Amino acid sequence: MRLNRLPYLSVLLLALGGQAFAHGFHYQLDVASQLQENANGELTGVRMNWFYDTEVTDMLLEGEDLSAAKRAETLQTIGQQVIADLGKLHYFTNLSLDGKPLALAAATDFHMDLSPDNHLNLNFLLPLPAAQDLHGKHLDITMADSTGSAILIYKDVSRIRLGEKLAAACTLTLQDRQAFADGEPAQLLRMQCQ
Amino acid sequence: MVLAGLGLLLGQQGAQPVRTGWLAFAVAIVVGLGSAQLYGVRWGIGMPLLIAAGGAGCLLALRLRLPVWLYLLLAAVAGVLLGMDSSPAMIPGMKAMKIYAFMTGVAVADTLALLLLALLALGLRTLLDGVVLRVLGSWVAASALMVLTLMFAHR
Repeated sequence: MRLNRLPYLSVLLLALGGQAFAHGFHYQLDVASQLQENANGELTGVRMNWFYDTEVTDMLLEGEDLSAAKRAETLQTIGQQVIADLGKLHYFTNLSLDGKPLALAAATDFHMDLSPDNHLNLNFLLPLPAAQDLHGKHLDITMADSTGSAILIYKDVSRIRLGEKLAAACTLTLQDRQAFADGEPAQLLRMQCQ
Repeated sequence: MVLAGLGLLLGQQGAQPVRTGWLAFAVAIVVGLGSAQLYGVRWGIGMPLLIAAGGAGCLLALRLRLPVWLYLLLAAVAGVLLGMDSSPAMIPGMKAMKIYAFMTGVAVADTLALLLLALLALGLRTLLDGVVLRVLGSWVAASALMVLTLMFAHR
């Protein structure tokens, strides 16, 4: 190839090139939660309902068999893999009672679904190893992905539902953080109980 | 910016530096991608990348005859940094095959882009006595410096 043609060829090929970087990739998880209680009104766990954005939904479903016969099985397999990976990341969820961290048991009762408008929906239960009495205490819930990719957001306080007894005794406040670094929670949810 | 600075610099140095520098970069980017994946950590490497881009831009603008070790070192450092910076997003549930496919795509795209830029510079190195490449180098250096300044200003 003659050397004087190289610039034209290079410019042409560069113009045809696509984006190659993932740096700063973030995705949002739209979260709804339901705090579980026992007959004594003690907190027993948190049921999480996560809605993925369409971009991540497409990434997770790319190449998967979503034919009518295989759809449910495929989604459940993906859900299983997601839950297994989330276990290494503490389910992106931190609970603290009066400032002391609460341990979470492994997620159970999970279900993955795909909405008609192409949003994956992961539903799972995060049980507490022991029921917690919240009377006179405050419970903080923060959600963050330590790898810095996912940003977990409650759209508003109505996205958190309480059991009947907890609802009667506790009030919820949701605080949006104005600035947060990768891996830090975007919001602080506080439940103050009488 | 790093790709532009390094690619043009290699091309400015001649055909042999393009071959060896490109190979060093190709190996280094694989190492960088692998390191980021192995340790699962996201390093804040925006600043080192900008410093590498600025360095490459300055060398391009100065149009010096570089020793082999220097451009090989620059190619290796830039490759490792870009690889670490381009690691795939950690999305729970993402299959390993998709992650490896993404990493392969990044490595191929980056090394191809570097090669094309180097070939472009190889064709331009004698144009107007090399002034075109020196101007491009000064733009790369100035751009890197401006972004670095803004990064410090926001601290």
